[in-house]
Amino acid sequence: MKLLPLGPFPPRGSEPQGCVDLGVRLRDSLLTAAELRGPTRGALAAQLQAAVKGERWAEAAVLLEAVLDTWPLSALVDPARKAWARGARDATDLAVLARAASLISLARGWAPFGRGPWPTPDTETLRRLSQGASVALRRGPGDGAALVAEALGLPLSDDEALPEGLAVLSDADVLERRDALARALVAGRVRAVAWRGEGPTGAEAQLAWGELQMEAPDQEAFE
Amino acid sequence: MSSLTVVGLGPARPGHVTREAEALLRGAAERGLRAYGLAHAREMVAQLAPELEVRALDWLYTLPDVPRPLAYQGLARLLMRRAFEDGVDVLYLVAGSPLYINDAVLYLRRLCAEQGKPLRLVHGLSFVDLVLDRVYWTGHVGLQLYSAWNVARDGLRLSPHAPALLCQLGEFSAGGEALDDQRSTGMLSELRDRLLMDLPEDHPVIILYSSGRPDYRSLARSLPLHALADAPVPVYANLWVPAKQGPPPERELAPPSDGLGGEA
Repeated sequence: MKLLPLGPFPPRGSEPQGCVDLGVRLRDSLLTAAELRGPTRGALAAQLQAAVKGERWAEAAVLLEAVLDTWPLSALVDPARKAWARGARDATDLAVLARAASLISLARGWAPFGRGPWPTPDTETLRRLSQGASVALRRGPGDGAALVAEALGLPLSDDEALPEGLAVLSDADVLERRDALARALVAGRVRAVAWRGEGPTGAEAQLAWGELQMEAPDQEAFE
Repeated sequence: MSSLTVVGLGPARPGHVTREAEALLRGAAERGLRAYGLAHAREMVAQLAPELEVRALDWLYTLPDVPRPLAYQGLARLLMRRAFEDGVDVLYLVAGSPLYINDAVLYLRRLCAEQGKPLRLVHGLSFVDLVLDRVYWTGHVGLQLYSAWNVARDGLRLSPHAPALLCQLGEFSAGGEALDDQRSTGMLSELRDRLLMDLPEDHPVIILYSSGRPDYRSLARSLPLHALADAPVPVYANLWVPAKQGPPPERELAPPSDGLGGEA
């Protein structure tokens, strides 16, 4: 079974049939009230206790803030995750998910993944979430596919796991496809566009690429 | 049949937007109209019709290989395609009046005429109406209206017998940020040298500009022509050049009259 990478995180939508979508599974298993008020709060409280006993006050201050944040975030995180997964574009939801992710990473000692506060799970968590996967696919630069493939010992395929509704363009076809693609973007049949290569060359290609990015309803979220 | 409408939103505050334009904006989201505009248009819509999404056209000014004339032609073709090929009701929102120094609108009007497509223009208050409030233009000897670029770099020579309003003193100094004044002195010094060919060094000129968001007060400063390039000006500043021997009031700086009180 194909394994879709962690990034871009947090993803929208649900897991496609016939695939293991690591991003979706991580989002739905970790960014939850149960996780925050259970394992995360417990681990942070224990770390805070150790820091206080050891008089490591700078560390204690960070942990104290994190422990306190688990209460309001527990109340907010489930609605925020569901709204984000549905495709809502609310920055407050994203802020809630980001803070929740940073607390979970702090509690578990996970490093951040990519840009932003999103977690890189340890190998054990990756293995648990990826059960049944036999080959890792790429989605784009910085998607974590190589890291996951290496951690799990899976082959990394050159095939790309493109999100549904994404069109990929290049200098070779942007002018030819512009009109039809713009129409599909305006109608919402295609949601975002990506560029393969360094970027459009020449005035007409740059104008076409700018138009398509502007018309794409989910371009900002995709980028 | 789908429609293409250009809407002038006036040069400054929402209060300058016409009732016709405001009514169109307020009903646009419900009617499924697709709107396009730059920062000023988005600001006006955010205040008058916040439910309407305005697609940002700012990217047109950032393309490395696309000169301005080509960008404006590209925009006109884009709006035509959207309205008349994709069947979308399109609003193109512009600052000021659509008919004053707006190359994209000009291309659009000509394209629509050539192709027999209907185009609606909703007029807006022009920047000229606003900036003239700090001078006393009599109209007795006419008015010359040019861009500063025309005089400084295109070799256009003003008549010294009529006042002139030279607009967009610093348009080419930066990427369209209306309050950017960092590189305007280059244009000003070229302009000063051209004007000194026909006018004396101590000829009074008046720089007319805006305070920008949120009040858009009409600001002005009077100075002798020889000092024109001594200090920078915002991109969309204008220069008032009285006639050499015209009506005396045209040389005077008028006080603020925007109703906001005090000295602007």
